[in-house]
Amino acid sequence: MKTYIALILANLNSSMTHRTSFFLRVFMMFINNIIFFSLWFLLYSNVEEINGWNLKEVMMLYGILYFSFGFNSLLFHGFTRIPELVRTGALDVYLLRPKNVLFQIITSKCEPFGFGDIFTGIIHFLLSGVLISNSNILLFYFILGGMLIELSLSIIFFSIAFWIEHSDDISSKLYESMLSLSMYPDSIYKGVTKIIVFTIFPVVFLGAIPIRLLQEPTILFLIWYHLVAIVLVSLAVTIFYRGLKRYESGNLFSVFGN
Amino acid sequence: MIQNLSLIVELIKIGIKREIFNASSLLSQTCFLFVLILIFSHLWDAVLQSGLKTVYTSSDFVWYFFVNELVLLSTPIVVKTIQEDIQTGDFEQKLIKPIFYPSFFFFQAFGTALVRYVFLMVLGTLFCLLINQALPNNTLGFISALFLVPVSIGVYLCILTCIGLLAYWIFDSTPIYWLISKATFILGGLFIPIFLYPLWLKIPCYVAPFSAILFGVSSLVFTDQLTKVVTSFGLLIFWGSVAFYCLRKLALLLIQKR
Repeated sequence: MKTYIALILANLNSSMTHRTSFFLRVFMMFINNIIFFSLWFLLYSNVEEINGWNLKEVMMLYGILYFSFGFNSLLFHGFTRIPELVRTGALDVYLLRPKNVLFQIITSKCEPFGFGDIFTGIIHFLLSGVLISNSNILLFYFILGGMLIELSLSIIFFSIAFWIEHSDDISSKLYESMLSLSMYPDSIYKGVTKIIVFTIFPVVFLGAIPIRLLQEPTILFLIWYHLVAIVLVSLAVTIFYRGLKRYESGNLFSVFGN
Repeated sequence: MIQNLSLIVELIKIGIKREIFNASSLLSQTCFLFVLILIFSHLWDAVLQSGLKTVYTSSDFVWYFFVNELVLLSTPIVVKTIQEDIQTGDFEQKLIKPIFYPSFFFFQAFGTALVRYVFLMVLGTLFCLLINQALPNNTLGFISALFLVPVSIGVYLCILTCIGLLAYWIFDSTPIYWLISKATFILGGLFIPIFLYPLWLKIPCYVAPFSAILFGVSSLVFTDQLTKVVTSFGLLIFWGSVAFYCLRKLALLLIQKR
């Protein structure tokens, strides 16, 4: 564990090499998120509720999402490197080390804009009033859950590189689709889309279902939530290691600092 | 002049060829467009059911959104390419070539955009037809919007090229890109047509170039007036000229300062 913490800290330090760029990224991501959320203010200036969701609930949804995305960007953004590592053969370096390969990869990159996401998350929580309620521990639990689900889905999407060469575009768009679909209340989805977002592409478990659970915890949704998380984590690990068996070593000569 | 023109045509051809052979990019862009249209159709169904007072149907809003996304998804993100070129110092080699430096990126990206535009236009229209079960109410307006999209892409590309060039002074221009892209979403009326905005926001929207790039073109699906088409085209030409002037100034400044 010490090694991974040291790795994460080293990544954070290296991301601060260009100070101006670091702070600009953090600040701009914050502004970017705030601007994006103003779309909801515009929508809610015309209606009071959208399929049972009011503005404060949407704020809570974004709070959970920004916290999860922010922490993942800061700590585990290395999953975006999987296609590049597979293509260039640079994965060899990680295979030679006596540590968990997947964990080494996901902790190999830090994106400073994660701080911007976390700041936005705090603002959203403060404005929605969720921090004043008694559900803070549960809220923290769902943020961790969101992180785990997002990370698992991301590992699955980026592991496509083991099967398809030059899959960067496909993986990125799948990742963006996940983010886009998760940013809306689950109640707007109907028909086939609803089935998809609750089962094979379970993005509603990143934010929308935790909000429901915070408001009215039901056994059925609670079991379902945990089941989805367990299945996704297992699937991500299995797919990554299945893919790793297909990996063909490269002939890249390189020295890695991390 | 003619030699320059033939160079430009060659650059566009390179962009076209590059994108045609990049099937994974085209496929992933199309799937992402489908996901976005699906989300948006569900969202507008929910918003209209929630009591939004408007004369337009959910189907009108979906067509409107489709035209907006056609502009955004067709336009390649040249910011990263130019930024890398400047950060690595590769741009020095291009400065001695017999073509204006930003033209390298602009025209290649425009070629790429044209392929994406045709591909996304055909498949996106079919997908919208499938979802809405009907053509837009103002078919003529929709067709004229489709004709204006390449002009709109050109103007947006010009702005993105300017942002890319800024990397020479600020090292990392990605945060500026985030900001501009979100400003395009809001001030351009990506999700919500500007006529539904409160009065205080309408004014900055109409003053900024983003409304000409998105709303000016996509709002043609709501009308069949020829004067509106001419006005939209005129505004695009105006903002295109302004963006081109800024691009030229920035590039000359970069050449002088290096």
